[in-house]
Amino acid sequence: MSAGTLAAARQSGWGWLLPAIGLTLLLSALHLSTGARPTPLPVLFDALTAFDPANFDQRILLSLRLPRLCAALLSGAAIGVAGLLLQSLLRNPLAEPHILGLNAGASLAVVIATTLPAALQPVGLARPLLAALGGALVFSAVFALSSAGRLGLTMAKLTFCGIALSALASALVSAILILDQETLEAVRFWLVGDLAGASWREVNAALAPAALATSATLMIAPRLDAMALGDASATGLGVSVRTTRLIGLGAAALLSGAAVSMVGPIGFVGLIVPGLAFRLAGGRHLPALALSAIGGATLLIAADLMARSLIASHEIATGIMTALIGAPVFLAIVARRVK
Amino acid sequence: MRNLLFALLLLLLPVAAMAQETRSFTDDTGRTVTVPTRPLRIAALHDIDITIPLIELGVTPAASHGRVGLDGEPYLRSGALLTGVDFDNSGMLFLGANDIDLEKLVEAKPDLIVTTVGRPTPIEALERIAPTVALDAAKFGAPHVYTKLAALTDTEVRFALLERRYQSGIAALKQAVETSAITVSVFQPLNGKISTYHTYRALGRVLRDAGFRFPALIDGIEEGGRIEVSAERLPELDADFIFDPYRSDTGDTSVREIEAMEKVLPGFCAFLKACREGRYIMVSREEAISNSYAALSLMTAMVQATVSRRPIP
Amino acid sequence: MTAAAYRRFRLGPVSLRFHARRAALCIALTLLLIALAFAALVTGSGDAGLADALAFLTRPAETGHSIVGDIRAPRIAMALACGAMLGLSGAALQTLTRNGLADPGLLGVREGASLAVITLMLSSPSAPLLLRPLAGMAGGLIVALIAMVIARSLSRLRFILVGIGLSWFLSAVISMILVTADIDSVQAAMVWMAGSLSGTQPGMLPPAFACLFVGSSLLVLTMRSAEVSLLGETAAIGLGMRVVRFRMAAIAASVLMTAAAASCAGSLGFVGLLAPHLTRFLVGGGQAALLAGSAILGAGLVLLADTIGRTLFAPVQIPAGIVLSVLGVVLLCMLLWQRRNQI
Repeated sequence: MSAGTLAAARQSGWGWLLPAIGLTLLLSALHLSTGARPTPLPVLFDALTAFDPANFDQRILLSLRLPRLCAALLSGAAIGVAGLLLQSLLRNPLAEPHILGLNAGASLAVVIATTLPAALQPVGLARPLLAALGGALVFSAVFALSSAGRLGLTMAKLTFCGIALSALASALVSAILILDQETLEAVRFWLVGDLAGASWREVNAALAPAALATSATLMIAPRLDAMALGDASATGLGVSVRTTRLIGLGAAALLSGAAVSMVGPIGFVGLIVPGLAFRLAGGRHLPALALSAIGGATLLIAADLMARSLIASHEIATGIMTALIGAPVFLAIVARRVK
Repeated sequence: MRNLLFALLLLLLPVAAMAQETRSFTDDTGRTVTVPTRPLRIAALHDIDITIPLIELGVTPAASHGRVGLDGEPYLRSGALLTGVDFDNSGMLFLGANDIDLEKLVEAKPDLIVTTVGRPTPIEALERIAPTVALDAAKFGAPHVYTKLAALTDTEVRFALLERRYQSGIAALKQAVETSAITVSVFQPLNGKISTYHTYRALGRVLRDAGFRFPALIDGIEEGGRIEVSAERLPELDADFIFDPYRSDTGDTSVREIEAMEKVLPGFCAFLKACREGRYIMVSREEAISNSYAALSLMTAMVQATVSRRPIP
Repeated sequence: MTAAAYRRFRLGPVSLRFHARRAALCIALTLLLIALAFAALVTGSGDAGLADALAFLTRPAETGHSIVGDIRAPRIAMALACGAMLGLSGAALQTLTRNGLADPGLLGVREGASLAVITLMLSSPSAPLLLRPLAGMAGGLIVALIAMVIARSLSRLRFILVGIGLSWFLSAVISMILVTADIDSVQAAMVWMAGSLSGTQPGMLPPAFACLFVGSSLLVLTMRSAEVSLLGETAAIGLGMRVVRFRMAAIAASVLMTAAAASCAGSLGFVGLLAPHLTRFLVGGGQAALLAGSAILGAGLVLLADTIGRTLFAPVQIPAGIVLSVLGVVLLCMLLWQRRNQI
């Protein structure tokens, strides 16, 4: 690619895509070769070409590290896209699945399910779906409450309804946890978002909703550019604001549900990435969506790597790591952007 | 008016009852407490760590902490299973689960309260009701708790019998198999990782006391501690015999535990010699996590039956 | 609103202007609160009823040790103090930020206090109970100072959002501590965090009431400025109001009271949010009515939650914070719906 075409690509917003993909690949390779057991990366090629079920190195690559990497990539991308969708649709730089109550709702659903007697517990696929459903329910409540009234959906209302209902859901979660020690033991890692439990089963289950949501997002991406000009201008350009918003929010809910079902409630990735991606993409939604997906995936892998190597004897949950990085970013956005 | 005075008198009774013979006792927080020489009404604030040991020592507490089942009835965790004693057949007053009801505690008119370090109810609040002794079961272990409780309740004779019975069981186990030539390992799946303890309560104590050897990874854990490791280190946990304590109090069976292990690492069995050769043993967690002598006897018998040489088909 | 509804009260140089209907409502609410406190005093799983409560109230010196005097009365007093403090901080913050959804819990002060107390609980479980409020207050104040430094000014939305960001960061640190700590101490810490009054010590009452006194005096003294500042910053400055002084007082008072309540009873959520709204709904009126009503209703909410929690499933104890959050779900949804045109 000559310098001229590169510059042209930058201008159209696609120029950062290649470097971003390169970074993701590099981190993915690092992620795959990091673990408690030293495993050389070439083993992966052996595992893919000549799989030997009795070889432990091949097995941990295929059954532990690869699903963990895929879960991180897929959920990071999903959270990134969901964040951008929410921020564009709600015109709110602080809109993010964690803030809008999706994560707290999912946690509540999972914790309620854990207290049921063994016979009634959701097995396999039911648990991730239950998490997604819980998140969607709380988000709908947030949305319904904040769009009620004469002024409609305002930024302050949505943010506060989200935070308030999240706080309520978390209070109920801690209510259940302190009454039952065994449940506390079983879910306290999951509650802060942890990739250690990721397996192919969860990744496979999340693929379908994620794909559905992605195609819906691609469909409305061009309309998002028009909507950035304001509801009135968008309507003037022939864009149906209401439908677009509905589709976009549905897609965001699906995406974050899929992410929560894979890796638990991980916050702040959707806050950090989309703003940056949108600026790098020159304010155009299609490249910004691609960059958000890649950026979200990269950030989650990086956080997971840090969580595993920061303290040698304890693996910190990935969600704590993203909160530790994300909260200062949130503070920076607020200090800079909010008057 | 007379009724009122009578009611006041009733309330003063526990104070009057305290006027029995006393001595001083130093508990695990380093506080020196004046306790009755022969406490008659003990309130135990943790079922597994205090109540069950007291029952085994032959002292039924007047009141105890417990749990509430799905049917809403209170129970002692593994109380009926290991001692036969539970709230419904002992006259013990139920004080609440987790955080206890202070008013119920006053009603029980205890002359001694025994709690453990780290319980939510502060010692300062308990002290105002009756002399309070706090024991640190997590830090010093079950033998220490039994020694302290026997000294408190003047049941050293009974304690010596229990200890003798246990040591005889261990001696018999050592005689039946050459324990130092056998490696053992205790672990369980936990959220995609593997959780393992230096000494897994009753089961771990039997294995350690009998002189079995453990993998280096488990020996490397500090005493009384536990770690969660990634499934990538599974081969380091391999041993001649592996014990996996599965949760049984909610109606779960070992099938779910195996499913959970399969989720941690698909096909895990192929990578553990013990599993391939049929020596991956599932043990009910109710008995394995208890600190009681009843559980120790059960575990001794279970281990002996498991590791003793069998005819080969 | 007509001027006729206001009455004037003179006592020497002191002159108070008050709204007759609102004053009557506040008095009625106070009477209701006293009745509730008395009901709480006579109920409980222990065998102590009306006679004992009357004996305690009429001749406290003679009764000696009793369930009513040793267990119920301090707990009720603490519930009242914490509830009033949280209600007042909520009212002050909502006036200060002119945002109806401001809650002391969102400022990071509660998390700062929690972090300090949990560190104390886990590092030395046998530390005297009285150290907890001190540690909590220190933690809460440090966080509030950091929030002010980052937000640079106390201007409305930014200050709140900075507080929220800080509280998230601190929660992550708290979860990190909880994940790596021993399971038994974690559960003790979680019971405390869920907000429980069961550990109330008579010795903790004087500091709690002292904080309540200092905090409420600060708010009452700056009441006029508060009223004017609601008109907006420029209007307030135009009217010759020292806006900064009022803001400092309001923030100092709410940090002090929030941290004190959090370290005495853990995190009792939603009181600071709900009490002022209930006041506006039931009483209405200006800043004086708002402060008085928030204190009374906050105290009532916490007392009600604690009494329900300790008696409903006795002897199983449910922390007041959890009862509050269940009550909170219903009340908050109702409020958000009712005020859907105003936020």
